[in-house]
Amino acid sequence: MKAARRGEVDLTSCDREPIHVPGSVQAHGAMLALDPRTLRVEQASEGVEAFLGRAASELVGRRCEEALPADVASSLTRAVLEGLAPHPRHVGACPGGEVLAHRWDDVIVVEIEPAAAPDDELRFAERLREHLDACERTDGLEGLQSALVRTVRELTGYDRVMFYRFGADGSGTVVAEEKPDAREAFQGLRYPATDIPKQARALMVRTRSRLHVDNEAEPRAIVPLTNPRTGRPLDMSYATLRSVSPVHREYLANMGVRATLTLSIVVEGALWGLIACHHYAGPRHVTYDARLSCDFLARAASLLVQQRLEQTESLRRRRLDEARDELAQDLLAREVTSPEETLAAIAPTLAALVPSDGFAYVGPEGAVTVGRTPPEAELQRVAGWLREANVRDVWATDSLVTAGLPGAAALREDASGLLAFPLSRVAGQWLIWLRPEQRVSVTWAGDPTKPVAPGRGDRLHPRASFAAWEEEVRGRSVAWSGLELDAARKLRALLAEVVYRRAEALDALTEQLRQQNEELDAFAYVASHDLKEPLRTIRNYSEFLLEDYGDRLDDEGRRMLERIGVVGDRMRDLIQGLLRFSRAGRREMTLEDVDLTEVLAQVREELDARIVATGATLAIEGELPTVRADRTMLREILTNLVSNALKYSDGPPRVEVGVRPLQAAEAELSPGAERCVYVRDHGIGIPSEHFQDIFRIFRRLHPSDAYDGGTGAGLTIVQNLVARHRGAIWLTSEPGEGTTFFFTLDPLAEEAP
Amino acid sequence: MSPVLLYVEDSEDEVFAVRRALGRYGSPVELAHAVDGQAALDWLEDALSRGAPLPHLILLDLNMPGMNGPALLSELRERPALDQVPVVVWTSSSEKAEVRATARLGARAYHVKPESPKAFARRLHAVLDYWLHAVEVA
Repeated sequence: MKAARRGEVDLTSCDREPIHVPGSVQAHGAMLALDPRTLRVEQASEGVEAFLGRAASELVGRRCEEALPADVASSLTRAVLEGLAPHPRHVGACPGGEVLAHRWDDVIVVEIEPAAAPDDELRFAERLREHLDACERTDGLEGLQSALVRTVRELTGYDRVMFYRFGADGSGTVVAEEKPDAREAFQGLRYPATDIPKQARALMVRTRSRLHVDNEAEPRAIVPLTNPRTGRPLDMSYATLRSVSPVHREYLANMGVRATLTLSIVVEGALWGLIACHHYAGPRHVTYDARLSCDFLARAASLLVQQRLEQTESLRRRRLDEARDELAQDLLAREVTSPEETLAAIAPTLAALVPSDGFAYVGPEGAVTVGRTPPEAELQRVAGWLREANVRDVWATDSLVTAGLPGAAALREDASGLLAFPLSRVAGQWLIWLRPEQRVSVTWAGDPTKPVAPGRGDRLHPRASFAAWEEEVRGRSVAWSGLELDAARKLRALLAEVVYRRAEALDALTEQLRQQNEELDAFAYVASHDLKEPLRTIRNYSEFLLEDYGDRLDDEGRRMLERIGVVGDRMRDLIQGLLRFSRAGRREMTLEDVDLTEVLAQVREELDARIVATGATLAIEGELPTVRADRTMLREILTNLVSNALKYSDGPPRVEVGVRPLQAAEAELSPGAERCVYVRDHGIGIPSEHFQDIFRIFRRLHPSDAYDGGTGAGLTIVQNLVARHRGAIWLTSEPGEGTTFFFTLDPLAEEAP
Repeated sequence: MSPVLLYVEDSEDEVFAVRRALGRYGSPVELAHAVDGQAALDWLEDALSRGAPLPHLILLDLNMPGMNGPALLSELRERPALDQVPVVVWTSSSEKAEVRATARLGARAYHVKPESPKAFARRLHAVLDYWLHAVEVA
């Protein structure tokens, strides 16, 4: 055993044990190593005389024709010339044995093993297909696993056959088992990953079946241990007779196992599971032909497992796809409402789209939850943590504790596992699926924390006790599968598309409205313009009548003609207002830095006649800043507001204009704005029920001849101009006390340097 | 011989208003009327061919079916014999673009008709004072 040199000993030493170069073969067979060019024997196993009549030491150095029976030697020579693969191939028979050969690591490895009793072979081969038929007819993965262990036990005759399935952590669980009644059941037991070292798993992918004939028979050494030509120990990676590692032999001995056969279940190139056969009664040999069938069986079983996995997955995938399609239909059919309302309505569907126990939509305005979730405050905290962690796409963990969420342990009963993605990172909207702690006890075959025990000297000893050892998994949920992550990604894409389409629909709607508005503006302009002419004509004729024929009419007749004139003037003013309004909407806007003081001086000049006539005072409070606005529009806004302030007063009007910071209560009137302009009067005031009405065109609160006329277009124009600056206008008023109008201008434009 | 005013206007009502205002003007003015630009051109060509005097002033509306005001201005600039007759725009439109356009086409003045009949007559009288008499004196 010198080849298996070991250095330090720790619990991972098993992973480094060079099991492919054990330096010995299993006792039931014999091995020769030949130079592929000269076909001379370079190494031989002890005990080879049982098959070839000569001791190992006598065979080394001989040509293959001398070492092997003539027919075997010539068949081997031919096979070498044709090219030998790493997988052992039958090349002939010698007394009591069959000869296999393969080429690996620049060495021809010849293996001799006992021949089969003829009836053994027949039994196996005949029934294989029949059994596979039965396996194919089973339902689901579980049914297949049970059928496979039954099949293997019946075909091979081992006492116990187990289906052993690997988990993500490398541990294996016995998921199906056939055993003698008297023996203890292993089904449900979990074995730590260290029970099957990495390099053993690698070999199991290469060779799909592995035979260990007699655990009690001491292996036969290879002489010499090191190949004199290659300078390396004989690499038995593909050799059937490769002796079993002493650690594993001890492991089996501790379990009372005498012989084993292991078939690999390989799915997509990785070791997915094993069919492990244990024999207690005595040594058990499976002949070359039967082993070929076993290899075939293992490959067939692998394909069946893969097919079942794909079936299950595709069924689940199809269900999720269908649910998502329904959601897509539903979303597109829905009225355009706020995202929050939509999400609240579709929450149950969203919850079901990723298999989970709890679902939450978390946004700045609140949370919508379905199923088991922590309280909203905690959900908000989780969302904040996800944002901090810069999560942009679908992200999942089966343990928030391990992922590092502060205080995650307290949430584990509702939220140990989390799958989430942002709807909008900027808006802080998250979709979150949750899974509770997986409160399952794992029954380990022995204490998994002590898979092997360091023994005397440098030898590793596997644990001696396989008494079930229970462990409770804490703070960890059932892991999110690739399918589930995929479902989440597809959902995210769907929602993004719907949101995008919505935005497009809204854009189209906005564009349509804009066009309609433009058409309406054009209509108002043309209509009012064209109305002016005939109106002036009516007005003219009534005047001409009065002038030319006034003396032939009585007072009543003259009064009627005068009324035509007055009403005509009124209509002219209305049309003029409509024209101003439509012009205000059509005018090109040029934003510039405008000095409010300067604008107000112009306003004062414009309204000078009225100020003088009414004895009004127009005061500027504080310093007026420079604002970003269209100069002409700003002047029109202020002219209208100041003009109104001058008009609606019973005594000499007092009007104040100023700028002040926006108060907290006003923040939502004009989001983003920091200050507003105000125009305050101490006039007759406006009852609050008319606060909305006054902005409607031609809506007057007083008879047209009271308070110096006016058409009622002024405030409508002001509102329009303020809106074009993306600002807001509002007022406070107390009847008899006065009115203050406030307006803001584009907060973005104001921010500009 | 009283001065001649050629008024190019499609609306009979406007012609009536101008005629009435002329009746209240201090001195007699002879009013010739053309319903659009083409009629005005015909009238002017006819006067030229007969050797009759050209109008002292053309009062021009802008929007007319057929040849409109600006088109007539262009036509007049093509004809040296007619280019000297002063043209004053007399319209209800106050579009700045039209003011600029007609000025470029050679209009001598642009008047927006006042809304009230009295102001209308006053404005027309002032226009006549200037173009019929001040210019004549000059």
